[in-house]
Amino acid sequence: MDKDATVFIIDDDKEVREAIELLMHSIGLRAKTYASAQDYLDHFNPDLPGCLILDVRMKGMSGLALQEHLNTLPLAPPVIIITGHGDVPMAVQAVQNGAANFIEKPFNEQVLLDSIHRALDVDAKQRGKALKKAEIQERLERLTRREHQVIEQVVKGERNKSIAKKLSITQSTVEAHRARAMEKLEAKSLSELMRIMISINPE
Amino acid sequence: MKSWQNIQGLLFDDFHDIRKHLLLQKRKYFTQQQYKVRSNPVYLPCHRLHGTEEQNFFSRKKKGIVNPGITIESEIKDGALGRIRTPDPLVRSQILYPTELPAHRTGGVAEVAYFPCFSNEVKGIIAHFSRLAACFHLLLVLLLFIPEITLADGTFIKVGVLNNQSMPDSEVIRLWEPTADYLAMKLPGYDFEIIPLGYYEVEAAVGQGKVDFILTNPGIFVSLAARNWVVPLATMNNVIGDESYSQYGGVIFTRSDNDSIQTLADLRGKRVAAVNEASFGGFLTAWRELHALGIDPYNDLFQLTFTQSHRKVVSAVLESKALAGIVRTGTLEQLLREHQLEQQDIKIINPMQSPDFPLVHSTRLYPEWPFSKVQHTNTILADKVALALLRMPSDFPSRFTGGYAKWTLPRNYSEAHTLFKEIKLPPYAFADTFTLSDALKRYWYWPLIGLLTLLALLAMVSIARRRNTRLEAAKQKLEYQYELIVNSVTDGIYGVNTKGQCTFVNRAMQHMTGWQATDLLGKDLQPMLHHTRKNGTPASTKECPMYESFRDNQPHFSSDDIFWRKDGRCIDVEYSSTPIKDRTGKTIGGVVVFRDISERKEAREKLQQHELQLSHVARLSMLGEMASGIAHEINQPLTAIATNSKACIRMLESRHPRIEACADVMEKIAGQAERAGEVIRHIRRFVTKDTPEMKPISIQTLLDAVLDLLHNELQRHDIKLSLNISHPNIQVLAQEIQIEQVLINLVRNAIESLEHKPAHQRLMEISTARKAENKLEIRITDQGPGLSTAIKEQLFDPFVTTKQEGMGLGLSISQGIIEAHGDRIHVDTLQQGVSFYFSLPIDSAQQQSSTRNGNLYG
Repeated sequence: MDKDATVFIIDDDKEVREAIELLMHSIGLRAKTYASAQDYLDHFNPDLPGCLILDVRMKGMSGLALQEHLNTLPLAPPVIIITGHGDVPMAVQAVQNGAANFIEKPFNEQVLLDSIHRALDVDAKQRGKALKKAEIQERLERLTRREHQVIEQVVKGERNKSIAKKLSITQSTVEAHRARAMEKLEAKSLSELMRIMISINPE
Repeated sequence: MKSWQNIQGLLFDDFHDIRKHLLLQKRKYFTQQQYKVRSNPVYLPCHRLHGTEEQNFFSRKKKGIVNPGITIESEIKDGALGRIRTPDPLVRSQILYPTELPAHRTGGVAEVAYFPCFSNEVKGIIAHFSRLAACFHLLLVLLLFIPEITLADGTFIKVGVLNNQSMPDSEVIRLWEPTADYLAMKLPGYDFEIIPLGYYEVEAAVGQGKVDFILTNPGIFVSLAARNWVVPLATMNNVIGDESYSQYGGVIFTRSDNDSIQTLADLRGKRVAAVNEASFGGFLTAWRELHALGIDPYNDLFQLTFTQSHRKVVSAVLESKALAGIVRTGTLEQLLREHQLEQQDIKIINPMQSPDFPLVHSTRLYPEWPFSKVQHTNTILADKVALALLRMPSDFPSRFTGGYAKWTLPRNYSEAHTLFKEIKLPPYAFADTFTLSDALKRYWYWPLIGLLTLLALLAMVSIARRRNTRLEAAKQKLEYQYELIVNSVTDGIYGVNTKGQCTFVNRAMQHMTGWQATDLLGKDLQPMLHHTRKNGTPASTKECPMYESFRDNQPHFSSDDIFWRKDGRCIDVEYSSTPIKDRTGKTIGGVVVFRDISERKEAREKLQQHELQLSHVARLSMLGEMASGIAHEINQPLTAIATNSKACIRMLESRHPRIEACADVMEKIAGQAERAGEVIRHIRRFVTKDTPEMKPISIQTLLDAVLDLLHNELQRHDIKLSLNISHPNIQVLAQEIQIEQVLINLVRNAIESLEHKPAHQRLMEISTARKAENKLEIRITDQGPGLSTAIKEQLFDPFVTTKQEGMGLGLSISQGIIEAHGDRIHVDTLQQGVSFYFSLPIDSAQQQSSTRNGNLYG
């Protein structure tokens, strides 16, 4: 679990959000409270790891609407929905939207805490993946255009000879490009190169 | 005599004037009467009173007066002789020959008895003349003569003679008078008068009996004899030159320089002259010969001219007006003898040779003219006449004037008959040889007209038939449409007369009511269809809309009624009743159109039911919404409390618990608990604020509103409700809607409790009773299955119910409402069923007012 992980508490009821914040502090978790969905969005920082505790019925933007909005972002933090009048359709919608959990008020604090831990784990994993992807992307960008073309053919399984023919260059040039590209992508073998390429472009 | 001499000058002068006048007046003044004078012949020195005008005017053709041309021959004994021929019409005279008149003098001088006679009209006219005196004188003289005039002891025998030469009548008379004289001489007591007749007059004269004897040519004779109008007495023997002949025929001739005609057949297409179409020798004989050659003189000749005289025929040919001529035999010889014709000028066509007949002839020969007796003529007289004629002495002068030699026994005229038969002339126009083709040739237009008429009739018949077919089709179409309209509609239609008797029904009506048309027609429908009303009371014609229509002539409509079916069931109907009026606007019946609305009613009830359910659902969902809202409001502080306490516990369990912080949290928890309490209070306040105040309302109004709402439900469940309201106008203090809710609840519970009861046991009673000074008790009693003790104990607890779909809130809410009205709902379990009751406060104002009233009068 990331030490910087923060629990973002969004509830229009001050007492409730402060109580939850207190609970977070009591177990040593960092917490931030927001009175409305808009307030949260205004201070939203995608680089901050953590998860959301989101009340459904709020003035202004509802919890479910905020959840939907976050889903459009590349890196959405996990969301735990809490509600004072949970009904089935609402729960179904929330879970379909990818909610980590749906908890009715008043809740057992242990249930909430477990949910938070799971959500933070999920977030950390998401963030790790995203970081690696960004790194590879950065390495790819270091390749020249020619190196890029050569690597593309290599990934498709073409041999050096046919690559040279296709790109109308000599085979030795192909080999040179290939070696340089492997170096730049920090791939020690062909299989590693393949893994790197598939991780950024699964198809 | 001398006196006559005196008169006569006057007489004749006057005659001119009178005659002129009379001519102007035409002939209406002529008398038919004739006076005859036999004695005292008057010898007059007469003027020659000859004039064509008279003759023309009195032409027999015009009026058939067969007594014209009178020859007056007078002799002045002592002086000059004058011969006057005067066909004077005014002077109808009879020439009398004294018996002693010497025959040889006929050619010269005759003694004439002359007597003018006047009709009464003539007398009248005469009176107007200037010389009236003289006229009167004359008349006087005339009157003196009357006795002598009327002495006629003999009879006038009229002998008609064919004028075949179109001579003036006087000439004919001149020629034949000697013969008449001869007969008169031979037959004492008879006078014979010659009546000249033209070709066309003979038949009429004989037919009308205007003549007693007739001397005519064989042609006319045949046509008369065929009808048995005449019997021949003698045949005339003609004299040609010095010979006499008893037969004659026709001669067809042409100019000798004409080479184009050699035979009879050459006549075809030529110009031919003949005497007359009835002339025997001068036409008919030739016709027969031409006919034998297939020549029809009327159609096949270029021109056929009738000159009316034999001599004119000859001159026409000589003058080349005609190429050929037809005359009787002897004519040419006569002309030769008279040197009016030269032998070489002419040439005979088809000359024939016959023994004993030296004259030229071109045709067969036929007997000469017969002298015949007319049918009506006395046979004895006829015999005498015949004898006289046959015995006529050869030297008798009449023969010369008549131009004949003698009379012989009548010849056989069969050849003449044959002639007529051959050329198909009347009376043989339709002889047996008359064939169909002849008939067609002759009367072709009759069949044609007949055929055309037939065709026209056929056309008309066909048109009429087509019209008929179309009419029939149109009628059928109309009937079909009527059938279609009346019988295909799903609405029942029937007609009634003003007595309510059925006049027609449609198919739908039969189908709906189960009655057949035969059951209904002519019957009074009220007791069959409409005898009982919906609520079971008998219906009378008085309030029946149909009868209402008859009374006010207006259409009536009923939207909810019942008709009874044949099988005793009833159907819900809506119907309209419209009066039928005749042309004068008088109502003669009505037509009722009705519709089975059972299904519609059912559907409507279902819809109402559904709406009730929906509103129930809506109420529930509203309750749910509210509950949800309330839950949220309370959940929030609860959440805060629970979370804070847990946090606080964790804080206390930590290695370095901070008591102050924990105290803060505990403070928060208490605050939240208070907040929750505040929410509850707030809700209660909200509810209290929503409750309207109580108002006075009459118990009747309340019950009416409730029963209005539940009317359908009660009816559907077939529940008999009895109302027993003690004080309908009493005003109670109540929150109207809430009390209504309570009543609805209780009544509906009662309805449901009765659901499984048999129909006759579904009884419910609503009653009110004043219990105390200020309390009105309302009681709802049903005869349902009642309540078990267990149920009864928790009857008013919420969420306790005996119904499957119930929530168990009805009675608990109701109880709350009634408690708010200062009482409770009580339950009595009866032997059968349950009675729920509660009291409502009576409006104190009313209470006071009644008290005050009591004070006033007490």
